[in-house]
Amino acid sequence: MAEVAGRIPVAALAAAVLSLSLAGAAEDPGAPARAPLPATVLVRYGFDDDSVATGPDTFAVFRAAHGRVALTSAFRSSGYRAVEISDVAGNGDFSELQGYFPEQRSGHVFAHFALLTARPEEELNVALAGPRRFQLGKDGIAFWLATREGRWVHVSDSIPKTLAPVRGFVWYVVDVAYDVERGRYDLTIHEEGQEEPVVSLRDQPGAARQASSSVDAFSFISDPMEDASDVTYYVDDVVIATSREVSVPPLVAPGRRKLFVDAFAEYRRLEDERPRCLPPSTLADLGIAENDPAARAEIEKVLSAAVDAGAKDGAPSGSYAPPSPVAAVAEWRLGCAALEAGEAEAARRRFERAASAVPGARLFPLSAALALVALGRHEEARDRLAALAPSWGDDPRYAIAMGRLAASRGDLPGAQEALRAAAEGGDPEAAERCYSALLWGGRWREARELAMARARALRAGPAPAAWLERAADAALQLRDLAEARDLYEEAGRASPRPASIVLKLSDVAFLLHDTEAERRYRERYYGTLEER
Amino acid sequence: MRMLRIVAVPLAAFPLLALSPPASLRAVGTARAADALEAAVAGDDLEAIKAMGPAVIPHLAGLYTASDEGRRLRIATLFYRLGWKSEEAKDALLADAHTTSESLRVSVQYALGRVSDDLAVVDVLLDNMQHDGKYLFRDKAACALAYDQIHLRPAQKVHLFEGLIRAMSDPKPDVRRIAALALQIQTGQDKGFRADDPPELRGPALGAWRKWLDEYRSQL
Repeated sequence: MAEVAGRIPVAALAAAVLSLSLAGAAEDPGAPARAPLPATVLVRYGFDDDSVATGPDTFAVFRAAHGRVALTSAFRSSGYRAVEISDVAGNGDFSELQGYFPEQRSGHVFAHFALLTARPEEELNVALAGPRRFQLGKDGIAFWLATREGRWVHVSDSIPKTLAPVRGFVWYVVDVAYDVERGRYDLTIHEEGQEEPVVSLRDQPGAARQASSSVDAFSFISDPMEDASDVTYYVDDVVIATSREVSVPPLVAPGRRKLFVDAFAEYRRLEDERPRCLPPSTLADLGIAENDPAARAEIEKVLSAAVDAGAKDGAPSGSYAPPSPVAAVAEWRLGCAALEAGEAEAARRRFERAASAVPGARLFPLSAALALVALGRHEEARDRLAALAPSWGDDPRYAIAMGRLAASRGDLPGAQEALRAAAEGGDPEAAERCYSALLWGGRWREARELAMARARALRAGPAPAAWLERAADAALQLRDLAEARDLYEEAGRASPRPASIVLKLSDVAFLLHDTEAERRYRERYYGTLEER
Repeated sequence: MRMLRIVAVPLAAFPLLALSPPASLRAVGTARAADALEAAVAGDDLEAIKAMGPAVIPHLAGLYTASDEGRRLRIATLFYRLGWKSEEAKDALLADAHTTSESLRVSVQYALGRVSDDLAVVDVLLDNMQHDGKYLFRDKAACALAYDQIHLRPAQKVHLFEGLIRAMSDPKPDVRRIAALALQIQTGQDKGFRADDPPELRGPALGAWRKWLDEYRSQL
């Protein structure tokens, strides 16, 4: 994070941690062992450099209506600038500086920052949180400090606990040493001009008393709940460090350690590889006679009850036998839920039971084959699918299952070949999976052509926009930057939710060395931190 | 502080009502303001209502009371989205806290905690959660207690937590379950409580919650 590091007293962080630990140990010989020293700085911001780029690996700025999050030189703890955060009560929103760092699941995490409030009676909140973000619970808020009615408050064991008074226009330096595994922390708050800390706490339960609650974000906000705060405060010298020796990847572009397009691609690949059932297209797929007018309603009713019961009761006993085709459908649905939850063996057993109960339902054995794919039992899956081929013919779902088997074995050309006919026939999922097989296989030109063909085949709306975006992704892989930009822009005009498109446009602008456009697109999503 | 601001804001924030024209025109101006408010409600135009400022809430509450069910539903949702504290809004909504209309009841239950920190609201929601004849209303009252009591101060939250912990001993398993879930959402903890456990297993977890509540009280 040297790119955004200002003159920050990292040595002071270590000294603060050491002094806090030694002091605690002296007071209480039976106290837990002192926190180790910081070994790796994860992020640090002095807000003095030119480069204070927002992004997924630095921070985001949320500016409430009439509020402000901006750089200022009016007050600063060190260097010549700090961040001012201000809010106006009743505007239905709140101002926030939200920062990100690599997720820490073990060791000690140290947070150090300086804070000055102009209005001590107004509420402000500071938190360290994990992937579940700013809610109480495991992997949610681990550390929560606030000011309320003129006093420091920390939320520990889900209880707001009042600490020392807060004085206006005085810098406070806050140091937290959070033991991730134990979910407990030490806290000191030093007031400017005083040698002794005004708050010195050891071994406090975390915000919601959760052991092993990881952290990857910090937040400085006004009042996120009641919207009653008129606070103005200043933050400087933010340092997040860990006791572990870890490698922090460098920023590859402003605000990010990975291009947005690569991050979205990773997400897409995870989604592509996530095992899940294929849908029925007719009641006959489920072994229900098409001419039964009450069948659909009956299925809905039984499925709902069965899913509820299954969720509570877990797997049924081995002697369980579905008493009817409708109950077999319920069994299949529970299997689908298990498959999505990563419980492929439990899913397979349910699919097999459903298939035994209703041999004419062709979707059940196909689902069992997909569970075998998820289990990595590729030979069995291949044999099962081969046996099912006559009953499926050229149905796209069979092609998709074959494609999944090939992709799971790492045979991307095989996956593409299995899916090609169904994709060309216009089946949307087959086309998507065929595109993915081409993209992951490095056949970007073919991927782009497929995406463009699909976009042309569809009318206006989000569907062609998604295909235009895919075509642009492939063009970007081909480093045809101008075409990628044009396609993303065209997709953005057609899509109602263009966040991914905006961020990818930022990537293209970065690669085109258009720093102004890169920033403009990125800041549409992550906000901007400018001098007021 | 908020109440002072509500008193101070109206002239600036609600320009049509703030005009001080001659009496004959004042009625016209007020009528126009009322029209503007009704139009904003009809269009679910939250931003327009926000722009009118907190002084509009009593008018909105009056409009709620004078409305049919469809418009009450729309206004209850607007109260929810605004999140502005108001006695008038609370009183208007409380009148429908037991309505049998499903959509209106759910919206009212959700909105109540977002317009008031009155413990009467907490009591109504706790009562609905435990004693309403319909599971839907019990469940949604618990949701409101879990997520929407945004104006409660720590001392007031004691009342909420007491009620939830009490409901975790309810003879109805669903009430125990939703009360425990509301408490878990509020605190991020469950203290090992399982609503479907036999009473002898639930006892120690309830004891842990009562001990926690004592600690909470001691910090006030």
